[in-house]
Amino acid sequence: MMAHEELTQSSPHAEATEQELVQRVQAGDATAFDTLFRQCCNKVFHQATRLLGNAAEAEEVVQEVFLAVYEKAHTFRGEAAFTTWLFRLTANAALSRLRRRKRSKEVAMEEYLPQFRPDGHHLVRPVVDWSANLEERLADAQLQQLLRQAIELLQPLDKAVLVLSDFEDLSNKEIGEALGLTVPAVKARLHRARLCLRGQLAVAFGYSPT
Amino acid sequence: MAKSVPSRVTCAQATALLLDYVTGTLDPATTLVLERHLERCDDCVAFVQTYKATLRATRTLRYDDMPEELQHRLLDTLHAKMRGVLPQ
Repeated sequence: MMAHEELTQSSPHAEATEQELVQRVQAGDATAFDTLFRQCCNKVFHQATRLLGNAAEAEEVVQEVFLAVYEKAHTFRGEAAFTTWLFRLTANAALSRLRRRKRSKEVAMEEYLPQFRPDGHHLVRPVVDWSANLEERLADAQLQQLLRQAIELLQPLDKAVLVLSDFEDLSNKEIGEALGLTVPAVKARLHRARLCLRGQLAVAFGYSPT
Repeated sequence: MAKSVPSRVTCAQATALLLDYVTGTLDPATTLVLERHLERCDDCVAFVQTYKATLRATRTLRYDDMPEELQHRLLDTLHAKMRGVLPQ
């Protein structure tokens, strides 16, 4: 295997696409694996951190995912982008950890979903538009922390759908394939996750989530 | 068979359409019905604005990269594990 010192921009693989690199790994090119790791480890790390909420477990997922890439490179057919395959491996590794966790942090998400009167109107009126307040504070570290915590509180599968959609830009079909869900189920979970985040932000700004 | 589109929607029904509406994937006929509702419902306009702003805010969240030292350490661990695993 190539030593770290040799993994520089002058590496023979420096300009190779991820697709080409995984093909070389399939062909037994060990140095291609190192380049692939360097190119993609942060994508996996970011996704795992978003899903798990902490860097320590995300590191373990990075290790697990790249070992799976090495072991399962032969199963990668190239029909989907390598990144999509990588996101699928990451989501499933993180999800199995989330499912093993004790549910102590789980809160009643229903509280953050909009509620309506029997006639279909919003339960609490008027609905306040706090979007300008949010936009003004986008760079605020406190707001970013609040959003991270809001994501952390989502149910595992809802969180995985949200992360794959809103951070990784996968299509609903790709998310469904990655997580074993139908497209309508992906859409339902994505909508609920976004509504939960919106509701948590509304409460943080001092308004009703409804 | 073509899906029948109601001539009007309630706030609850309008909210359920937002996922497709904000991505522009709602069919044109339903979009028209929803937009007619928005023209006369300030509550739903406020709801749509905050829904969209939440989505934008989520997309702006940034996470730290793995420190270089950690990348090296993980690669070392992977090399050690891979010695015992041949790619199939």
